[in-house]
Formats: sequence, C-alpha cells, structure tokens
Amino acid sequence: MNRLTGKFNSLHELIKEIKNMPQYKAQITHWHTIPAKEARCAEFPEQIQNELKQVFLDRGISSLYTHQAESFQEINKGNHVVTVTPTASGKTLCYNLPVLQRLLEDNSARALYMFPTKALAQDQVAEVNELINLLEVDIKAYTYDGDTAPTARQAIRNAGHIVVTNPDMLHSAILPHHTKWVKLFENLQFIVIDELHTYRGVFGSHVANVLRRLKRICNFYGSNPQFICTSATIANPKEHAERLLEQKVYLIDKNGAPAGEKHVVFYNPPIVNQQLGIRRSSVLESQKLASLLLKNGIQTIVFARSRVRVEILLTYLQEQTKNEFGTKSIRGYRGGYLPKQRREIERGLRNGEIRGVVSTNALELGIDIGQLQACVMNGYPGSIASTWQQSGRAGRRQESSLTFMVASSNPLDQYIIQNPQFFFEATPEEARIEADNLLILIDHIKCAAYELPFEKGEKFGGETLLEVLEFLTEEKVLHQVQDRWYWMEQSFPAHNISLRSAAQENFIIIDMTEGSRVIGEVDRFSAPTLIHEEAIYIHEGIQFQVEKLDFEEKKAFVRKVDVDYFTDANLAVQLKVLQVDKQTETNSHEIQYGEVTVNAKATFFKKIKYKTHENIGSGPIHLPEEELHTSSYWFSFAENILENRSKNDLQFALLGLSNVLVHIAPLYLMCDPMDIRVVPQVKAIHTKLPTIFFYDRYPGGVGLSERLYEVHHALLEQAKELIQGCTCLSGCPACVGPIEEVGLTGKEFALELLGVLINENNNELIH
Amino acid sequence: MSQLKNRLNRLKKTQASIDNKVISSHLKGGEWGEVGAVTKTNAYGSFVKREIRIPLQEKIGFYPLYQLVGSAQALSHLQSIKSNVLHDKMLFFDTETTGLGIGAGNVPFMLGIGYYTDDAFIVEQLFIRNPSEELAMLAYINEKFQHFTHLVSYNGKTFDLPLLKNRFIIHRLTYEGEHLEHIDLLYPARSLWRNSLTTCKLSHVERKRLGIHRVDDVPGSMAPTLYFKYLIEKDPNIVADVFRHNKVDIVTLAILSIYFVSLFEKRDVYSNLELDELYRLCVWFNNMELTDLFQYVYELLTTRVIEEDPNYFIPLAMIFKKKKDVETSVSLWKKFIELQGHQRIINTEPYIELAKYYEHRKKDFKQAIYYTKEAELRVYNRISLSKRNQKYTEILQEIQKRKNRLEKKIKSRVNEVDQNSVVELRQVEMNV
Repeated sequence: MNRLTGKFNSLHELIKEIKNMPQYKAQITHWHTIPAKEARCAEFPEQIQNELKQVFLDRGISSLYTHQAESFQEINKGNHVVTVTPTASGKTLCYNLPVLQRLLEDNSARALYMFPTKALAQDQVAEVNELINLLEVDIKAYTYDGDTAPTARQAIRNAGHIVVTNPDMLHSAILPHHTKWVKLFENLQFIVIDELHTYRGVFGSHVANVLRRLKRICNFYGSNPQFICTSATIANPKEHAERLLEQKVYLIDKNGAPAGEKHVVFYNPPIVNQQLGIRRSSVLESQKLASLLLKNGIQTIVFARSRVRVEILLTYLQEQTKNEFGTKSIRGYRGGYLPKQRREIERGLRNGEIRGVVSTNALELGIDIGQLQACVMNGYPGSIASTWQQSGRAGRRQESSLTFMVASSNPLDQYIIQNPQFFFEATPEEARIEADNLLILIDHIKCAAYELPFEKGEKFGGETLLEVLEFLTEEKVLHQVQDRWYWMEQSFPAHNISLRSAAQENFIIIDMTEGSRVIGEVDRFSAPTLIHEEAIYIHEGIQFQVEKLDFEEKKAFVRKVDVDYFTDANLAVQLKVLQVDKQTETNSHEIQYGEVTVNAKATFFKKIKYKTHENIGSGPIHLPEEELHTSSYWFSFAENILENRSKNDLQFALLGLSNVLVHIAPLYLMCDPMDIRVVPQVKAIHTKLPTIFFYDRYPGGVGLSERLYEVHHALLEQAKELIQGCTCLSGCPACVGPIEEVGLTGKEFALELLGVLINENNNELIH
Repeated sequence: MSQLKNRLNRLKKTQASIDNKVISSHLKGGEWGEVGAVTKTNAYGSFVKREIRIPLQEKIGFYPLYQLVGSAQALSHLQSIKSNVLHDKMLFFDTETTGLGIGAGNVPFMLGIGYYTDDAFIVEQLFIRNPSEELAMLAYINEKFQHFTHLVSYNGKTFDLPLLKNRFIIHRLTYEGEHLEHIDLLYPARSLWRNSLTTCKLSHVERKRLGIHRVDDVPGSMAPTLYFKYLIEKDPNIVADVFRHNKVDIVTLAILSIYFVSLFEKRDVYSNLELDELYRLCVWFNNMELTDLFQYVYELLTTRVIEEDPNYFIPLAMIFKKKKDVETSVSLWKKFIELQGHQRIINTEPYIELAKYYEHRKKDFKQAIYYTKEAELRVYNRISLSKRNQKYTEILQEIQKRKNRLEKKIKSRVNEVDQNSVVELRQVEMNV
C-alpha cells in the first residue's frame, strides 16, 4: 500500500491485504479462489475452408479452443448443438465459424441469428462483419429490427445471407409476412440462438412457440434448418434446448477458454442488533466495498436486485467518489433507460472512461462492455446461474479478478452465505418453460393460423391442437373447411401479443419539472407498487415524486423532488382454487397442484428514511384490483396440527414458514423471486384448513408452481435447515421474518410446524 | 374435451376479448342466381363468378365508356409506361379482402377485373365461398393475365398486387402476371388533386370529378364483416352489396382512365378545372416534357392567375428558373410583386430571387440591394406579427448577410480602380 495516499498499487495487492483489514475481515465469511485456467486448444478442423482459416492465422490465431472445434465438428455432422460457455470464452466462433464455412461453400445459403435484445444483435452483426471484411467475400450480414430503415428492408429480405434479429421481430414482423422472405426461408440452413438461458419462464414459453411457428414456415418452404445455440451455465442446458426446439440436441459443455485467477468472496454485513437479528444494510456495505475498489482505480461493476436499488446505490457512490471522479465516470444501467443512453454507457465502459457502473441484471447478458476488474453484488442475484454470469463480468485474461457477494438479510441470501458449499458444489438451477401454457399456446396458434392455414394431423404443441382449433372456430376467429382451418378475422394477431411480459402494456413516466419529457417506463404489474401517487420514483439517481397516475392512459406524471426517504408499497392478495390437477397425501398434510384465481390490490405505502431505513410515514393507494388465473401449488394440514397452540400461534407459524419458503423457492427455480408469490391462509376457502399457497405470477402459469410441487419435501428440509442455522433468537428478516411481523414466537412455532410436517414425511418414506 | 373447454372459457376473461359480434340476420338462404353469379369449375376446384356486360355506349357519370377506345396510349405518360397502351389490352383490377395490411393472413375473397371487348365493357367478379376455393380462383385469374399487357388499379401497387402475389406464394402457384405493366391511378390522382380535393379516395374522386353517384353503397371497410357473416350463414344476398360496390370500383377505374386521357386531348376541358388543378396539370406537362401542352396550359394559367391568385407566380417562376429561362422567371416575380403590392406579401422568395438575379447575373448591386431591403422589411413585418421564432431569425440572418455583402460590393465598386478588387469580388461571389 502507498503510505501517503492510503491506496493500493494494484488489484493484486488489494486482494492480498483486504483479508487482514479489520474493517472487512470479520464480515468475510467465505473466500473461494478459483485458480487460473490454461487454454485447451484444438487444431483447426480439416474441413475448414483455407481462406477462413487464413483469416485467423493472419491475426496470429493458430488454433481453436476445444469447444469451438467440437462445435464445428458436430454441426458438420448435422447435429443441432447447444454450447455452454461462460462470459468471454469466444462463444461467437462456435456459430460464426460453421455458418461462414457454409456460406463460403454455398452462396445461396442463409442463416438467421436470434438474440434476446437489439443491443446484442447490433454488437454481433458488427463482429461477424469484421470477419467477413477480412475474408473479402460477398457475404452480407444485417440486423433486422425496429430500428432498420424501411428503405433498407427489402434489400435485407432478398440479399441478406445472415439476418440478425430478435424474437419479437420474428414474431410480429418476419413470420406474419413470410411471403416477403421467400429467399430466406427457402434457403435457411442455420438458426443461431444465442443466450438460450434467457428464454425461460413466460418469455421462454412464448419464444418456444415462436420457434414452432418458425419451423412450420421453414417446413412450408421446404427447408429444415439446423439450430446452433449457446447458453450460460444452467443445470439443464440440453433439456432446456430440447424443450425449446423440440428436437434432439447435442450438448457441448467442456469449455476450452483460459481464465485468470478468480476470487469469490462471501460478505455478510455485521449484525447491529443481536436480539432482533438485524444486520447492517447490504446496500450500505456494498457501497462501502464498491467505493473502496473505485477509489483504488479498479474498474468495477455493481449489480443490484432492483431498479430502485440501482438508483440508490448510484446516488451513494457518486456522492462518495465525487472527489475522485465526476458523475459521468460512475453510471447507472437498467431497463427503462433509453437505448441511446445505454449505447453511450456501454462504449464508456469498453474504452475505460467509465470507471464504475451500477446495473440490474440487464448487464448480465453478453452485451459487449469489455472485461472489468471487480464485481460487487448487492444481494444474492437469485440463482447460481445469474451469480456466475454477473461475476463473469469481472476477469481479464491475464489478471486476477475479485467478486464480492454481499448478502442481504433475506432468507435466501442468508442460506447461501451460511452454506457456501451449496453454492459452490450444487448444480445451478434449471431453466423451465411451459410452452403449452394454454393462454400462450392459443395466442401463437392464432398467429400460426394467420401465417398458414392449419391442416388436420398437423402438430403444434401438446395434444390439444384440435380442441383449440375447434374452440377458435366457435369463437369465429378461424373458419373450417373440411380438414383445414383458415384465419378469418380482420385483425393482425401478432400485434396484440407481446412476448416480453404478462403486462402487455407499459406505463410511461413523464417528467413535468420543465415542460414534459418522457424519462422511462414501468411494466404494468409493477406500476401499482412503483408509480402509485406520492411514490418516490428514482431515475438516474434523481428523485421524482409521482404527482398523478393516469391508470387508463398508462401515464405517470412526476416532478423532481429532493427528499430523504424512499417509498415501499404493500400488495393485498386474495386467492381461490378453481381446479385440482395433482395431489399427494401424507399423514400430516395434503399437497396439491392446480389452477387458482388471484385478486391483487395495492393497498398502502410506507415512507422509509434513507440511511436509517426507519419508517417515517404512510399513505393509501387507490388503484383497481388485478385479477389473475394461474397455476398454483399448495399444502394444507389440520387446524390442530400444533398441539396446545392457539390459532393465533398457528398464524405466526404459517407466516414465518411462508416467508422462508418463498425466499428459498428460487433455489429450485430459475426465476425472478417476483415471478413466484406466496399466500398463507389460516382457513383457506378451498380446504377450510390452514394452507400455504404458491402461485406463478403469470396468467395460465409457466411451470414454476409445478416444479415446487415436485420438490415439496426437499423444500421443507431446506427451510428447516435455514431456520435452525440462523443465529437470531426469535426470528429475523433473514429467516422467518422480523418479530414485528411474526411475533416473538414465530421462529419457534415455524420450526415446530416443520418438525411435524417433516417427521411425517419420514414415516411415509419408511412405510 | 369439456375440461379443456372450461379452462379455455375461463381464460377468455383474462385474454384480450375477441371481437365477437353476433350479426343478426333475417335473410333466408338464397341462390347465387339472385346476385347474377354462377359456379365456375376448373382443374383446381370451384368458385363463384359474376359477369356483367356493359354496352360501350353507356354513359357512366359524365363519360361514355367508348371514349377510351383508340385513345388509351395517352395513359403511358402517367407513369412512364414503356409499351403501347391499347384499350383492349388493359385489365382493370380491384380486390375485396378480409383484413388490412398485406400480412400472410389477409385473404382477398373477391377479385374484380374489367376489360374491353369489341362491343362491351366486361366486369368479371371472382368470389370464393370459403378459403379452400382460393386456389381455383387464382388459377383462373392467372390464365386471364395472359390476354393483357397492362394492369390498371387504384392503390394496387402497394396493396392489391403485393397481396395477390402473397396468395400465389402461399398456394405455391407461379404468378403469371409479371409481364403486365402496372398503371396505378392513385399516384396521378394524388398529384393532380392534392390541394383541390379533401381526400383522394376513389368514391370521393368519382363523385367530385367524374359525376358518378353511388346509391346505397356499402363502404369497402364493411366488406370483411359482411364476408364473415356470409361464411356463417351462407346466404349470397349478404354479399350482394359487396359485389355491387366492387363492380362500381372497376367501372370507375375505366372512367377515371378516360378522364385522365381527356386531359391530354381535349383542351376544352381545361376551362372547367380549378386553378390549382390547372397549375398541377401545368407541372405534369412540364415534367412529362410535353412542350405544346405545357405552353398551352401555361398561357391559360397566367391569365387565370392574374385574376384569381397571383401567388401561383412564385412556383411557376421556379419552373422557368429550373428550365434555365431566367428572364421569364424575373418577369413573373416582378409581376407577382406588382399585382400583390409590397404590403400584402409574406413570402420573401421573389425578393431574394430577384436580388440574386441582379447581383450575380446583372451585377446591378443597387437593384440587388433594393430587393434585399424589401425582403428584410417583409421579415420584420412577419416577426412583429408572430412570435419571434427560429425560422424567421434564420431567414433574417441570411438576408442581412446578403445585405452586408452587397454594401461591401457597392463600396468597392465606387473605389473600383485596380483589378484586384474585381478579383476579390469574384472570390466573394464564389463563396455565395
């Protein structure tokens, strides 16, 4: 360390020293070092065209990484392939190489690249064009998205060898107008799907249906393209790919790329109140670590779980480092920023002008921001897969990298931090989709019928096609003539169907401080809790207060304010069972899975003071109720399950157990914690018994509850382990919840309840 | 079944509600004969066809149909058509479809065509009783295409034809109309009536300019609804109005062609035109390089402009400037200023143009500065009347720059002794 400035000379030195610095030492609960990894290389495959090989030789690249070579070979054999690769492992060559090879052999061939976002697509087209320029051949690669100039579109449709697009564009522009794309579809040989793991949950279920439509159109034009996919590390890449593509897929998961030494540090904020089990805020601790890194000149990325946290952290960090840098050097990044702004930030990160960035998981994807040196995660990102993706943003090839995972007091974070072996040894989560979700399926059957009439015997999704076609015929959307069903409606179905969110519309946020200016947007589900009237909405570190929310017109009018609090809204939920699809029984309780209706209404909000996070006021929210039909999993037990305990005690036990379960559920699901919700009921309408419900927060459900139904017993075990492992006396936010919520006995009763439920399980297993 | 059905019905509530208006009807099932149509069958299946013969003597609105006989060639000027246009080689074409846009799911359920024979104008309407008959209908029209050289439509270039081609692709049938040159009458209609008609919809054009008045016409936008109703009830009377509407569209295409042809031939019709139409026509003939017609219309126009609206002198002057006939332009600008009187003029263009002319062509800086100052005054008047805005400030800056430069030139001309100043002057000019 430089004694005059108190600064470290390098990241390497900081890594060595920080372990011994008293202000950090006690909080570091686990230090995991992953040694540097040598590259594993393979010769260029024999079949590869000389001119293509020469391009790499000219750039001093004389071999491929093993996974790149394997991918090339398998694609040559005609297999559909999914390659699992971490960040910065040269994954683009896994598809660019075989695609360019084919295009050099056959100039009439075509390839379609699909990326989850426009930004990624633009990145990738630049990269592949660089290769094409070096090859000096007539191969054309274009992006085709909402930004493409109308005048350029026709040329792209007819002459683009590689068309780079996103699933939304495929869904609403390319497939419904397939007759304009005859050249592409007749000659389509490859479909490249990057970031396959992002196509999960609702979005993935939609995309699976878009792919069904795509294959249907290809089939019509007589092509049978090969799929080349890449994915981040998930538990089930092969299965996930096969579910999305509905084809056999060859898995390549031995990554040959080198990596620098990597330090992953688990950091648990200090306990400030033993009695209440309250830890110091993870936001403040993350900010402390990030500003240490930044002040030492280490380019750092900070990940936060929500948009609001991003903005809070950004404000703190800009304030903390204002002597070192201007505010332009530390930036925020999240959905809701406008595209131009985002491109500028990405550029700044690549060229080093921006030293620090605070982001939501928006930067988890492969957007090119170069490699940073350190990463601070404010809170466990919710899944093992995400954690590695985020951590992968730090790590230059020849250098060590450092990642801090700063646990929040939520039970999932505390479970992970207390069980590092779970994190480092367990397989990451599964990506799940529910392509046959009835609502999603119907939407896409409509789109597909618009594109081409359905014929008897055709397959589309599950076994229900015929029934859906008959239903749509009755609804006078389709018209049946003998064995064919024709689209017979005036509308253009793809326009009313959005792939991205259950909420089909966004609310826009208008700043009225000077004139009126749109500053961002919020999805429909989040609107009642984020932009209700009087809410503090933070954008780019600036506070705005919502003055008026026009719910009908989907507009929120905000004005700049300067206050020392933020707002947090409460959502009241009612739930009714419609139908039971699966059930199992144990001696002590009954486990069921089926369909439910949920009515949710935002009721009131709290004002929470910065820094101390104390509650300084509240107010009502007057917004309409939302109704949702979805799938749910629940379990119920006899009222007297806890002998000698009152109804009131049972209520605390239920609440405590729900709090734990909903937080650890993401251990088994690859989903946002907001995608799965929990409702405890002391006397459920359906069973008349104490019941805990979990439901998918998407109309029709996307398979999350179903998965939880399958892992029910393991889930209970994990909950017990977590509560027992927690150091608090009688409940804290890190396990069953704070005592203000679950009472002084919540922890004890929840454990007691678990005891009964689990013992019974064991009995059941023994018999 | 019933379980899925229940779920489907339950989910329907969450779903965007499907527009499902039940159309009530008291009509009983009828026969195709009632709408004058017959069933037509070919190798690909059947469809319904209605054929109407209209004697060429018949007058539709202001014009009898025979007027196109032998005179269609003039239409070639409208869209730089290369091949000879013969009235009996033209296929008039219009579709009725199930939706908007040209996506793969929009189906033309009726194809209307019209053409001339020796003694009659024939309208053929091809109609499909359900989507499975489309292939037979497409095969039929494909064969028809072979007898013609030109396709005449209204907005067919961006709508009807691409849509029809989609259908050929979807039915894997080769479109055999590539040899047809396309005359889309919407484009000349828009350029001619841009300012004189509130809309260039065919029904509006025919009423205002062709003397055709439809009685009880169903608007084209109703066609899909009626067709869907027909699909359910199978009563031909439901679509009778669509047949009628489409027939009028086809006939109007022929009459509109006659009207356009008359503009090239019958000079007496010009007197009936509105001033703006006459001006547009003048622009047409100029662009088409039809010198005689241009000269004729131009002379007619100048008389009327003087009487009705001198503002037309400004764009006319620009036409001559582009034709490198600056002297005529100058006379028009001056005429304009003379007729209007300075005070009533808003547009600075004639002043600036005159200033340029005197500065660069005539080297008469005094005249040039006179017009520049007048221009400046006009802008000052403008600014005082309206809120100060960017546009006027910019114009003013330009004018003042010009004024300063001219003042400098005048000064240096006063001291004009040596050659250098002339050179300098030239340089200044080049920077203009």
